[in-house]
Amino acid sequence: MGKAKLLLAEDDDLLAALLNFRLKKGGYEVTHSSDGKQVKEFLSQTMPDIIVSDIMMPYFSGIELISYVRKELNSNVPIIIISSAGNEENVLNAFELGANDFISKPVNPTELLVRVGRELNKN
Amino acid sequence: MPPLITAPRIDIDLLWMLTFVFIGLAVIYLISVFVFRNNISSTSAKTKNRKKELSPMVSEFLFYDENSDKSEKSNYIDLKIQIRELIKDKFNRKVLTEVLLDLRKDVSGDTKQRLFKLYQDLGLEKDAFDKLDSWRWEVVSKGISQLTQMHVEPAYGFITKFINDRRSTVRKQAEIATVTLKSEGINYFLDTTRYKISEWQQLKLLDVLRNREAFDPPRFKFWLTSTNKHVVLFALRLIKYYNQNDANTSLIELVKHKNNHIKLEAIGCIKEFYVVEALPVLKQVLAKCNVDIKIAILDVIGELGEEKDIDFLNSVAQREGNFAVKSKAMAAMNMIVPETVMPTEGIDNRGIEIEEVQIQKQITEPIVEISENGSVENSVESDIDIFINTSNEQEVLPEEKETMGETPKPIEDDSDPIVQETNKIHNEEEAHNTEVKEEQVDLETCEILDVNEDVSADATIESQSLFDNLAAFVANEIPLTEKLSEEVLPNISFLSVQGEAEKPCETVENLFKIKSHIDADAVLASTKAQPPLYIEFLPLVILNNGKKHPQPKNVNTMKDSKAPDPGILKMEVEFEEVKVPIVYDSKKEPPLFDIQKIGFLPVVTEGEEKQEFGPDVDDCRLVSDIEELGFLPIVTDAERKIEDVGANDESGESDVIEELEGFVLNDFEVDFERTENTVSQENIEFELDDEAFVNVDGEGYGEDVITWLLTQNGVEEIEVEFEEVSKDSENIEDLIPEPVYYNEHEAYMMGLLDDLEEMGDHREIALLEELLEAENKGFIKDRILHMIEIFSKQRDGHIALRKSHIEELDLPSFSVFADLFKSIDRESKLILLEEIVIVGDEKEIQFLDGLLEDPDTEIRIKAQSALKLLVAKVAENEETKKDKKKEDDTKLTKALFDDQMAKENPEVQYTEDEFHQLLNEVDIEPSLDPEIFDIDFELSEVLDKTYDKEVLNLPVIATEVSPNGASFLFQLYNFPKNIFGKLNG
Repeated sequence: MGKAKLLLAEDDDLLAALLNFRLKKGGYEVTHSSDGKQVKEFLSQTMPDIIVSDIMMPYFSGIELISYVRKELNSNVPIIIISSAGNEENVLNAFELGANDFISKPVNPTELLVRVGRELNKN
Repeated sequence: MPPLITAPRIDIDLLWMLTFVFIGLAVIYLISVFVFRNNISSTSAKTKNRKKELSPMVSEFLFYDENSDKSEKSNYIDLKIQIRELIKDKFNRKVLTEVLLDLRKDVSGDTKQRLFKLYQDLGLEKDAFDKLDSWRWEVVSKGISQLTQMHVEPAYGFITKFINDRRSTVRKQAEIATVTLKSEGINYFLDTTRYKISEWQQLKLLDVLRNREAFDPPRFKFWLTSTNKHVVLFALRLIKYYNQNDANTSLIELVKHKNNHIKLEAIGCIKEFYVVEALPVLKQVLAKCNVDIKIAILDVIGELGEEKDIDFLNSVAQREGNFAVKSKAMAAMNMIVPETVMPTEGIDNRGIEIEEVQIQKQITEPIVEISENGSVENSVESDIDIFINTSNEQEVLPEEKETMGETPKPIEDDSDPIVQETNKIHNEEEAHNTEVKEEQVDLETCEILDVNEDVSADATIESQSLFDNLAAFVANEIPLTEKLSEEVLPNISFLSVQGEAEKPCETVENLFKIKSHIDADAVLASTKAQPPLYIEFLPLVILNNGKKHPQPKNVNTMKDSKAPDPGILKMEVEFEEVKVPIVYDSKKEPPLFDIQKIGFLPVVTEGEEKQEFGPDVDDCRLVSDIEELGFLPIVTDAERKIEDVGANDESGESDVIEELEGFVLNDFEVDFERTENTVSQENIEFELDDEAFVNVDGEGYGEDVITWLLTQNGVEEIEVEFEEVSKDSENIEDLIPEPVYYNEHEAYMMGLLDDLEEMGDHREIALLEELLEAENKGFIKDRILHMIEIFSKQRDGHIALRKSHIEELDLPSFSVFADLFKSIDRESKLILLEEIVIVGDEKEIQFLDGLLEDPDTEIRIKAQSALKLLVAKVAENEETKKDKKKEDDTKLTKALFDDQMAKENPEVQYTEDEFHQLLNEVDIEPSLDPEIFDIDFELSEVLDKTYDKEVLNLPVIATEVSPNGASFLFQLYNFPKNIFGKLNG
């Protein structure tokens, strides 16, 4: 069985590199997109097994991404949202739009790995 | 004619020159801007690229797993080497620091901890330490911030020095660092800070403390005595935050503090911790305080106060000119006794229409309750006085004056409208108090007032007029309740009840009608004729007559008693029903313990009551009791033998006990012993363990006892004799062993031997031998011999074991220089490295090996050379030792040989060559010492390891000749000797 494909949408390169490394080490095939445009392009070509996205991203926010995936692409791919502290309203919006889980910054990469695994197991 | 105005002559050359200068300056400016911009952007790009390069490396370090496979480990080591090379460059170090600082914000959990560790492992904190020495405040501040963010605890001592720095930014940064880095930092900070702690800084510090894991806050009361008022203030806030309510006395004292902030905070703490003892002090200081503190104090009094404080609050409300304070005082009164002061502002009585029938009904009932303290008249008189006084001071706001029209004019004209407002409210309150102070009105009527919240100003005027007329009644010294009931009520029959509140016009008209009817003569004339006044619409105020709160309407017993209502009577019946349990309680209580009623409890009996299980009456009773407790397990002591019951009473009773409602006794966890061996005659039982049964080999039980006793005493030899004696015995009495009586010496010796056996070891052999010599008793001697034998075995085993154990122990070699090396400066380190070569041994090899990775190049080189020299020295020593040992062995062999030869052939003399020849012939190893084969593997391993290192092949700059001959020349000199020694085995 091949590795699960994971799309990591995070504009902070440092954090993205760190999470990328951890997730790859955790056995996932990670594709990193640093802004909403790239995410949209990627999703138009292929659909990953799970999406991990930051809420605040240039061009295309995490909320819009959820809406795009759920409504336009009609996909039930699990989406985990990374949000900053104090961004609870956005998190609520995200859940309303169909996010599966969320993790707040500062991120514990090990925790993220566990959450990703759990979401994939659910599906 | 010369021209009137001549144009000044312009120096064209100068102009051109200036033009070029400015153009030049502009060009320079533009070029410099361009250069700087490019420089900045290139640096930025370079930094970004470097970050991209470094971040995977950082990730690799952060998520490195010790248990990873070989390739990962080698990759990790490569990265380590790579990063060490990279951070030699200042720019890279800076970028790496930035990367780690950035990541610190984004990660949490164990990754964060690893990040901190990595920061220190890479030695990046040294840059931050260097920044602390800078003269520029921003650099120092940055350094402190960096050390704080990366939790470099060793920096604590350096940072605390900046707590009282005159530069505020540095100081504040140091304060936060001190509190962050160590849990005791807050203590140090509060102890030492001399400067102001701003509100923002306090918040930040509190946030740091709040987020500290497993933080045990100190008792902040210790800083309430600080001479720094900001420390006191902060301590108060911390006390409040951490709920440390052990500083009440200090808090009370701080209420008198000159600083208003401290005072306010102390008051806040008093309120928070409910320090009732502070109330007298609060009352004392109230007058001297400013408005904010007054309000805070009144709030506390309202919270903690009692009814006795109402007077004080009342006086404050009267005396105080400030609206807010007055208002707070009244609020406080209401907090202590709810509805002491009723709302007066915006109350509209229009639309209040009480049905005539209802009024007539109410008239027949006495509405007014007479106080317990005195008559109505007296109370009213006193209240009248108050009312008159307060009504004289009655003031209204100018705006209201315009709207009121017919309202009486204020006696005093206060220019301050707020004060007027306040006074007005107050006077109205007083008026209410006066009117109904001694009366308890059904609270239901208060709802009427609530219905009319949206009343207009006119309604207020009308109600005010009504109150004024009531005041006139009071002025005529007529009992208020009577007058009101007689005069007003007939005229207020128009007042609507709640359901008819939507008739304001009628109400207003009738209110005027009231005024026309309220006439003193009429009142006097109708005093006797009219029934009591129904004034339930009036607010309720009660004096200090022992009742804390207004009575609920349904317990107005006075009212009920005078006009018994069927409904109320019905309620009383219910009340009696409630009382039924009380009557039951008064009856004689049944006995607490009844065996018949505690069937759910297990029966617990004592072992001493064993004989009571006979077929006597008590037993029958007990058994019958047990029958009643049929479903329960029977619990007895271990000694109890239920079989006694079975043996003595074989009736169905025992069956009943054993079969309790389908259960047998074995179903329950009861500790019975079915000892078939029990001798029924004597009821003597022995509890023999399994071991005892094994030892007796199927002999009589008496023998078991003997065996057991002797085993216990360790006299196994005698045990046999007893067994033999008991063999022929069939009678149980014969089975009982004869007691073994020791005399004093024997008892002492046996005790001593017992102790030695129990606690001694092979070291006691000498003592035992002495005892053996001195002893003449056979069985004691035997025992001593036996013990010597055991201890001898133990000794041999112990020695062998110890040796093997020591060999097994792979103790790490420890260098005494390691600790010393940590605490000395660079120069000292270099000197110490030289000394290590001279005085060190193989233990220092590992230490020097570790120094080969030291960041300091000079130390590294020095360590290399020292290591080489030390290895050579150790190797040489080893060789020398071996040679010496071989030499000694040869000598010893020779001496033995000579000795033997001298014994056998005293006349024959052997030369050295003959001796060696002989040895070769018989192929005997010269050494007799088995330790010759003991090889120090540890050292060999160390030597092998160090020899394998490439570093040893590096050219050594310094050639050192040690005095003990560890130099290369010395080795060369000794080489033939070594070869010779090796050839000799």
